[in-house]
Amino acid sequence: MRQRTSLVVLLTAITVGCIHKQSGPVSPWERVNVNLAALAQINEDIAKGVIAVQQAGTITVQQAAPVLNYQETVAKDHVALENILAAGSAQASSQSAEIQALLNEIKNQGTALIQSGGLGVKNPKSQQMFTQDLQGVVNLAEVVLADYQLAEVK
Amino acid sequence: MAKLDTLAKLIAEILAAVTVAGPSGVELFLKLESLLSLGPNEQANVAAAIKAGLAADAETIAVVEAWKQQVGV
Repeated sequence: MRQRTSLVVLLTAITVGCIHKQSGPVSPWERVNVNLAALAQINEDIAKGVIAVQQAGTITVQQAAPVLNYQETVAKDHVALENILAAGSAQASSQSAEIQALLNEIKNQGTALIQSGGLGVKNPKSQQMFTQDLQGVVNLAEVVLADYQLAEVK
Repeated sequence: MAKLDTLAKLIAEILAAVTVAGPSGVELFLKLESLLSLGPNEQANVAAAIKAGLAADAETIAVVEAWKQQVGV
């Protein structure tokens, strides 16, 4: 889990900085969609990691449950976002409020979970790992929100 | 010679990173690397990103639901 956590933090940083395109600049719309897909892939990896840690006996079912409920909420919100974005940028702009509300939900629920007092995990190292994983998702949601607001202006 | 040294250092760093990340970490890295490398067509890039995101969501929901059933929560 520690290794996975470090990797998630590292990959979040890579994701934010390193979209590269064969020719021409990366458009704001591409940035929104690619960062959003990266968020989903990292979320999937964290969920699998939390399940593996629980099955290894490092944490209890009760400790894993709120984190996994959050991962599932992120996945479902993400599906809703993709369904809006798949219709194209023009359609998406008419549903701007809903897009921002879904991204804020991902961000705010993650932040609330982090601030809820360590998710019931007593071991400070495990607690720090969960916090870092969740913070990675929250940070990416913030990046996508900023990307989206930028794409809307252009 | 300097180039060989640089290459050797790079390979050592890659091997160290692979050792730390483990197979699932490498898999995630490769998926993200593929996602972040865009072709010239914006529409195709957006479609590929949406498809990759939805596949990840489906997998997340499936593994969490399977886990819930297994542990009875």
